[in-house]
Amino acid sequence: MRVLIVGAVPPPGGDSGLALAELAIALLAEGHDVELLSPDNRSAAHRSARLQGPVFALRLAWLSRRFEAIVLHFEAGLPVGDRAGRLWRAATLTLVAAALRMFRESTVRFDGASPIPGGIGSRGMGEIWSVATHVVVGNEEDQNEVVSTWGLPEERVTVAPARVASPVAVPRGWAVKDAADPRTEVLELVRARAAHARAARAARVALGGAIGTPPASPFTGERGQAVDAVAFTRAVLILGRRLAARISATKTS
Amino acid sequence: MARKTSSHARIAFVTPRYGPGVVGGSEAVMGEAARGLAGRGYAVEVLTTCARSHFSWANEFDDGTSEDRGVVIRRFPTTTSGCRLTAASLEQRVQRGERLSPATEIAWVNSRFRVPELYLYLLAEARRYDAIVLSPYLFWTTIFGAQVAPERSVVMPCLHDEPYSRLSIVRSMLASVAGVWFLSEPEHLLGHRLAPDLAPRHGVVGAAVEVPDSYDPAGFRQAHGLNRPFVLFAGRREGGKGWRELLSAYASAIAGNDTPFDLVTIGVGAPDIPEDLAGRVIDLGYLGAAEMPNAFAAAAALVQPSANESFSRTLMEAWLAGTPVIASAAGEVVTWHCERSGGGLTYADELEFAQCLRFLAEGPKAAAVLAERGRSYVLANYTWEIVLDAMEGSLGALTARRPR
Repeated sequence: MRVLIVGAVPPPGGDSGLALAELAIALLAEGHDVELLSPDNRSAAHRSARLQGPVFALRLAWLSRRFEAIVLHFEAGLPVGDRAGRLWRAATLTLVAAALRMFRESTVRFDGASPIPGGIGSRGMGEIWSVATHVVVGNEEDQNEVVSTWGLPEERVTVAPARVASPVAVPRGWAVKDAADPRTEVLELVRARAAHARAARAARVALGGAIGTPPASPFTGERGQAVDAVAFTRAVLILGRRLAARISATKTS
Repeated sequence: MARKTSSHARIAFVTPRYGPGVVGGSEAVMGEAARGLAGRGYAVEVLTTCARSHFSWANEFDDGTSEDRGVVIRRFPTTTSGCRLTAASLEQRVQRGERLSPATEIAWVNSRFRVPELYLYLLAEARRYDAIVLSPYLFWTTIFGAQVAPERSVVMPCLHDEPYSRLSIVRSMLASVAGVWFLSEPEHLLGHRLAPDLAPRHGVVGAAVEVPDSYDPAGFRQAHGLNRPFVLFAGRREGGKGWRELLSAYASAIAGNDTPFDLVTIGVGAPDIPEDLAGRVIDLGYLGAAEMPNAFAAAAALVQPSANESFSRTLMEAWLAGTPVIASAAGEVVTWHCERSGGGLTYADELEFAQCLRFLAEGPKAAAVLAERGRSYVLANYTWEIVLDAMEGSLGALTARRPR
């Protein structure tokens, strides 16, 4: 599966960035195509860009043509800047939610200090929670809040640990060099590869990657893409109407 | 092979089931050993029940006396009586490992099936036999039969490390009989753990399998319409034999990577194949003895998921056919065989099982090397010539010790 990971990955370090990098390693180990998109141009991501506001949402919508799955890490400045007003925030989150809907699978990670005023319980986050196929939060308190406030099924919300061990590389092929004891050699390869797969699976599960699960969303396939495009357009129209109403109300008052 | 001097001895083999359609390792070894010793000049009789199924214990064979390949077969009817609720309750208590009184343990044995006529026959006729070989340990025929003439009884327990084997009546039986035959060294060690006062005359005699003259894997595939490569499970499709765990591991393997192998199963018991595996798990049911070797030869590997094995004949049959083995590491005996032979891989979990399948697909040459080692191991240790020699040695010592 082609997976887009959006967030600040190292360098520089930081636990959440390392966790994202480890998730990428685990997904690669499982054979997925992974691309990293970071807001920090110092990072080792495939590409970096300003990842804020409605433009970022449009970028995600555009990228949805190339990727089937997305892991979006909410962090300081991503997807809304520190100084974003309420309206800007609402517009951004609504559009991001619409863009997420265009991916077959979307994992939203929210495992650090809240970068969104109002936190995970804020109204703007509602749409994000409703479209994400999987949600990763930093602790059980946040998990309970998401489940109780937004009514998400518990199985969709997991708690990520700060760090997990990266799977190590294993040799390729099954060539047996030890003619005296080929079984032991093969068995060591079996165990090393299984350990690798086990670590990759553990990392993926622990880090909240829902990648590889069967698509549960009706928004899949060619028909789904058309439906998604309609949904996105509708979201833009709704947002436009809300903006117009807000401006009108301001003028009246 | 020179015949042994004790060839006029009279031996009774007491087994709960015997005959066509009976699937079970102990039953197979008892039948083949009986016929093998008869072939060496012993007067051999098989004392058994009329049952074919070890679930129902219904009398499917006619009672009475018959002959099968030089062996006299005496069949006695089973009876199943008593309250089913009580039987289920006793079974649960045994499974939970509760400490039961010997009387309660006997009640549990009685609650499954009984063969009173066999017991009465042994009471009347035991002295006619120089030795009475009984197997496996957990059935009425063995528990009760061994009490009739313990001084001439040899128990081949086929022990597994399970709640039944920890019953006090099993321990006292293993201590009181004249001899105990184990099929493998791990089973021997388990015997010592379970019964510290094990009968002094005990040892590992092993078990054996027939060596076929030839194999026809292509004919087998064609006859059963098997167009894709497959791994094989042979035996009883039931919880105690790891069938469900195998289905789960196989489902995980095909979900995680594109394994080319179907899973073909032969044997008895309802396979209960989940719908999503219906296209990949193929049940051929019970096969006759003539087809079995070809099934082993046609498979890319034999899978042995059972932890409850005292010998595992199917491992030997697969290796003889030049087929490698993939076995659960939970099985102490099969792990022992794999380590000694160098002919099989063991897996600890589903991920290792998936990697074993990948090895089969990607490393066929190395897999063939393992299979060849397995075949050499069987030919060196588990042919009937070797095993019957060991049994004869034990019987000779037993009968020589006792005045006739």
